[in-house]
Parts: sequence; structure tokens; C-alpha cells
Amino acid sequence: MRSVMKAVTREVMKKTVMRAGLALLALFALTACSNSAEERALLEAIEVNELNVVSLSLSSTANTTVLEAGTLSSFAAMAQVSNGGADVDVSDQVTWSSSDSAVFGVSQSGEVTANNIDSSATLYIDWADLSASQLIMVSTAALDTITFVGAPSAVNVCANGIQLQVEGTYAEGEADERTVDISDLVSWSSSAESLALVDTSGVLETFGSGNATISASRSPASGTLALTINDTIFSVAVTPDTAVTVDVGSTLQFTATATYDDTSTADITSTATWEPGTANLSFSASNGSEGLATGVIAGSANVTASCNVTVPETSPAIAVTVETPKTLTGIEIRYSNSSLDVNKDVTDSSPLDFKAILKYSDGTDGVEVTTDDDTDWRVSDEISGESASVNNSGDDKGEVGFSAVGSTEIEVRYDPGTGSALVDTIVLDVD
Amino acid sequence: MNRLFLFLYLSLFIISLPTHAVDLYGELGAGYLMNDVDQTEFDSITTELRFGAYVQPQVGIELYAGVGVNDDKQIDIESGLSYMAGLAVRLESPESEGGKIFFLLGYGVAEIDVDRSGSGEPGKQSFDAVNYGLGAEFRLGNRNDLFLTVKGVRYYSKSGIGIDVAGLGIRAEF
Repeated sequence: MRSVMKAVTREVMKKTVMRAGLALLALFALTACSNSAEERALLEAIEVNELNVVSLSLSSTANTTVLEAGTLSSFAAMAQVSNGGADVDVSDQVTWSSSDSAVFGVSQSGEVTANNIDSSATLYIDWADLSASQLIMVSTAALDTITFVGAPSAVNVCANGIQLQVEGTYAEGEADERTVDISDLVSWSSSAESLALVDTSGVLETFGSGNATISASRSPASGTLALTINDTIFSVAVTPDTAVTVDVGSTLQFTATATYDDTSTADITSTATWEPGTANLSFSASNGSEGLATGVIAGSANVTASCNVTVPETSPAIAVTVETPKTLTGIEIRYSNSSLDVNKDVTDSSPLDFKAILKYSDGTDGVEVTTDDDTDWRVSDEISGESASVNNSGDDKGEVGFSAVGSTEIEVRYDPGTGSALVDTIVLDVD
Repeated sequence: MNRLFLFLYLSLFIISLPTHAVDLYGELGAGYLMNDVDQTEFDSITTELRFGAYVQPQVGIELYAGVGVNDDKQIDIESGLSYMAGLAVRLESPESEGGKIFFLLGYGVAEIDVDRSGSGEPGKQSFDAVNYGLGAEFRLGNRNDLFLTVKGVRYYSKSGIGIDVAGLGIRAEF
């Protein structure tokens, strides 16, 4: 009877363990759900409070809530902070959404794409429990006219950074006529590119005195600006304003400052014409890298900057020496800062402290690397007897001890991992 | 809904265990909860109750439940544990000189209540995951059925969020 009970109990236990296993399997299968929404809620709360954000707002580069059908517009999510600081652009942190994707779509960086429709929808941003929204209208109305707003009719020569702005009028003369900033939507051009240029962002630069017509176009309309560029330049100065040296292959940034007839000054680095004087130096032709000189071959150069391609005003020349860059070519063992063969009396048991000095290709000394991690000292040749030893650890690297009469060669090897080690040896005679 | 179904299922499973064939045990304890959120740590105190049964020598299956005692405030955010509950398997080492170590492997849910700057948001957020931990326990005096238990359990660790508890408790075998 007892054995039967034991068998029954064992069977119950087996079933229990099996049920436990099945329960755990069911558990894992049932709970394959994601916690990503909960994680995001906690993380956003932390992010918002770390930045002390108290509210959000929307802004648009076009500064309008009416978008032309089929266009792309950039919006920014701005966070207002509790400590009174400037608004912070949090466009990459917030969640962007459109109330009606048939009207416009929005990317998670705030790029709004207006669809080909006449309708409106709401643009939302959400971050933690903060949110902001803006009603946006999308219109298929035709663009009738383009007008320059606040543009100067006359500017100085070599001017730069002048932001041009244009407005477009849609459905002109009709009940739903509207005028909006379309500076980001137009194509810019100049009738005299040698005198004036406008980049794709609508920023004007002038290079020579004279007249130019600036155009802003978006099919089917266009607008023009008659621009007079005045020869108001008085002088040009270059910085650095003293002789300088640059290695072959290295760069040196120059800046040019203009003084105008009315004594005002302006940085004209981007609009000046840069001349190196010789082929030893060259200037970058890249937009945004104006005034950046590169050493080409060893020699001398005379840098000038001039303004006004029509009637040039040129700066004083700055002498530039272009040098072949010196390289590490060797290492030298020294004692008391001078090279020597050491002859040591065996009765003098005091150690000698040797130094390892790097040498450059022009013969000048580099830094001392006696105890550097990349420096190794060793006895390279026991020429006659074990007369000397050298320490190769810690701050005692390079310390040479003497024990017997003989001749020993000591080697120092510096290997910073550049592919070629620098080596020097010295023979020590102990008498 | 999944979680409710799971919890009911597991509860029924434990209740249906053959109590005549196994030893039951219960544990009451307190814990120090460390809730990391993107390198900001909220620390609070929790209490916990565990009830289980040995299905084999040194192998127990247990239900656990716990609640938070207080909240912690960091960068103007108050956070604390609403509750945690789940099921775990307990694997014990042989006892030596009145002590043994054990390993816990389970699954459960932990709900954190977060109040950002007094806004009440984002509120209660539940995290369900496999949890695991390690502990040691020692007989209390000459009693055969009472143990002092020390353990650490990781309830959640993902996407910069961690929920860990270091606990101390008394476990009794029935």
C-alpha cells in the first residue's frame, strides 16, 4: 500500500513539474508584447525636465500658415525654458503628426509636404505631456506676382550676408487673394554675376561696382530688383597683418576687412579677391573657404586681398614663408645634454642618467622621451664582459649602472607605432 | 488584457498545486528599489510578499506581489512603484551551515507612477518582462522553518530604463 502511495505521489510531482514548465512556456508566449510606449513616456519626461522645458511652440521658415500645393516647407519645434533662456530647437525630439495626411504629410524632422489639394489640417507636435499645434491651409491657387520686400536698391561693393526676401501674391484680385513669404520657394539669379551673386538661400554678395538686376522666379511668376553697387571702398586690410610661416600641405586662414568711405568697416573675406603672389601658396576656390591658403611648395609668397573687380582696391602684401614640414628623423642618446662616449672608472659605482632626445629633419631637437612609454632601453651588445646594465622601467628608464671592467653597447628604441622605430646606440667603456 | 489573463491563469495554476504533496512557504520583505531612467535614478522603498510551493526538493514556484512605500523626486519628477506582481521559479543550493543561496527566474509586471512637475503625467506606466535575481538565506536561530533572506532582483532592463530591487525578508516554510 505504501509503495502504491509513493508511486502516486511521484506521479503527482511529475505532473506538477510538467505543468510548471508549460506555465512558463505559456507565460513567455503570452507576454511577447512591447513596452516601447511606456519606455518612451518615461524617457520623454526625463528629457523635458532636464532641459527645463515648460511649453512648446511651432515656427516656420516661411512664416506662414498657408502652403502652396505640392511644396515642401520646414517647420521647427521650439521649446520655451523655465530659466528664462532662449528658446531651444527641439525639432528632432518631438513627435510630429498631421491631423489629415491627405492635406499634408510631415516628417519627424518637421518637413511638411503639402499635397495637391485645397484644404486645411492641423500640424501637431508632442513631447512628454507638452504639445503645440497650428492650423495649416494648403492652396492650389496660382502664383501671380513676386515682390521684393525690404530690399536695398543700392549696396556697397564687397558686401555680403544681405538676406533678400520676396513675397508671392496668389489669386490676385480675387476674394481669396493672399500674400505670403515665398523666399524659400523661388530661384534666384543675377544679370551680372561678376558684380553680384545670390545663393540658393537668397543671400546677396557683391564683387564689383556697377548695376545688376536680381531676379526671383517661381513659375509662372517672377520679380526683379534693380541693384546699384557703389564704389565706396576706401581701403582693405588683411589679417594676419605681419609675416607668417606655413608648412607645405598645411593651411592658414586669412581674413580681409574693408573700410568704406563713411569709415564703417566690414569683413569682406568671402567677397574679396585673394592673390598669393607666387605659386608657392594657393587659395581655396570653395564657397565658404574664402581666404584659406594652403602651402604648395617651399618658398615665399605675398598675399593680398582686393575688393571691387571693376576698380580694384588692394591691401598691403603680407609676406608668407612656405616651409617643408620638418619630420622626426632620429633619436639621440645624451648624457648631461651632450653626445659623448662615456669612459667610466669601475671604482666609481654611481649610476649615470642618460637621456633620449628626438631629432628633426632640420637638425633641431625635439622633445625628450627618456621615460616615455614608447621608449625602450636595453643592453644591445656586451662587447667585453657584463660591465654595465640599463634600467627600462618607470621613471628610472635610462639609468645606467656599472659593475665590472669592460665595454658595453646601450641601445634606446623609440617606437610610437607609426611603423618605423627610431634607434640610437652608445658604447660605454668601464676602465 | 493579456496581462490580466496571464495573471489569472498563473493564479489558478498555483492554487491547483497538489498541496498534500508539497511544502508551502511564504516570505515577507522590504526592498530598496532603484529605477534608472536615462541615467536619472529614482530610489524608493518597497514591500513585498511571496507565496510559493516546493515542487521538488530545492525547486519552488512562487507568486510575488509588492507595492511602493514612498516616492523619490529628481529633476522635478516624482516617481515610485505602484505595484509589482508575477511568478518566479526558485532554485536553491543544498543547505550548508544553516545557509543557502538561491536563484530566481520569473516573469512579471512592474508599474511605475511618474508625476512630471506636478502635471500628473505621464502617470502609471507598466513594464512586463522576464526577471531574475540571486540571493542568500540563513536559518533564524534553531528554527527549522524560518529564514532571513537577502536578495537582488532585476525586474526590467531595456532602452535606458532599469528596475532593480535589493531586498531583505523573512521566509517561513509551512
